[in-house]
Amino acid sequence: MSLTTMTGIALILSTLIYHGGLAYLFARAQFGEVLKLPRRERLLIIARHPDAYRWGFRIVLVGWIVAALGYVMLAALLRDAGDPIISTLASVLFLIAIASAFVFWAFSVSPTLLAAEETARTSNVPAYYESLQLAAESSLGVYQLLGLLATAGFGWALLQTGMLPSWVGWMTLGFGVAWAGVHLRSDETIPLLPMVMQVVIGISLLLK
Amino acid sequence: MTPLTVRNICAILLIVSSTLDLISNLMYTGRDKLKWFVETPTYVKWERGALIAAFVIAALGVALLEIVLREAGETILARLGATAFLIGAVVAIVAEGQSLSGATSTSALEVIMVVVLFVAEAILGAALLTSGLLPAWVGWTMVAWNIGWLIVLPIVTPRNIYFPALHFLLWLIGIMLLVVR
Repeated sequence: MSLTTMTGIALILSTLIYHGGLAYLFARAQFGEVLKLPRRERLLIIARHPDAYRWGFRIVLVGWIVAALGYVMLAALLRDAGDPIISTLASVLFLIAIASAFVFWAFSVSPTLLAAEETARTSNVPAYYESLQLAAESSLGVYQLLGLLATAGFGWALLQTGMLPSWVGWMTLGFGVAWAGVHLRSDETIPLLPMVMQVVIGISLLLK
Repeated sequence: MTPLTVRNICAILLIVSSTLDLISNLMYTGRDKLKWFVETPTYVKWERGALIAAFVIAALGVALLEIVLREAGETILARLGATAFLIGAVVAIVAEGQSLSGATSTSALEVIMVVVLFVAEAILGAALLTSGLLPAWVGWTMVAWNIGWLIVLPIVTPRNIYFPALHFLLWLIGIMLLVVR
């Protein structure tokens, strides 16, 4: 199996696994309501589905890991295709983004499950939970911004090398820049955005 | 006009990261020590944000430095140094991000970050020495500066060994990459 095929498969898999994890959370852990409700009510819902919540986020974590591997392989392909600079910068940005996502995971998932259990038992949200959530959300913001900048960087590198049809490069670049701009102008975090373009690049690599 | 080669972009990124660190340090000194500025949440956000940006840009610069060192014939130390620096920069970004969101104690993360960054930069200094990319004194300065502070700080200020400015001698590499041909 060539590096191009492996990279294409890894990138497609990363998106499928990540969005599969989200779909699992929505289907089995009432995640749609969790996102909308205030903290206390949110914790009470999570307390009803601890296993589904834990497994959904474990799948999301695997998606992030596979995406990091896929982008590192893509950077190697782009380097061989004649772009040593932008691809390296994009892969470093994406690795920092994924590390921030891991921090979010560590500060959010297990503490949330503990807090949910305690809230269900005592009806009070534990005091430590608020500060941990703030820390987790700031990591998620860093992840989203750097992940989108990395996406834009890969689009630019694809354009430079001509490795894939130019519309793939333009689309990836435009997607990353546009959503990074939106993120900078608003406080809203949409964490799935850095995990979208992998599927387009992956399919294009397999069709090459 | 100077062409935008890997070497030049690397140099620019290293200099920009050090400049951002300098700005952040001046803002901190002006706020905390000299009391020139009133501490507001927005001010602190910009101060720490500049430092987070400095670490991100430094990581990008060091990633390109690894390519420049590899092209100069140094493969192992350059890769080790760049990987260690990336780990240290990530921990730094996390620690600064946590303090921005109100975490009261990030001292364990800070100790890890300081040790990893000093070791990483000392390895990069050794890589500069063995590659012959820059004059030997640059490599020796990097090694001595980083190992020296790593030994001195825990003895002199054991309660707080995190001084961001000490991790940004990278400007020296940046300037020398532009000057030496």
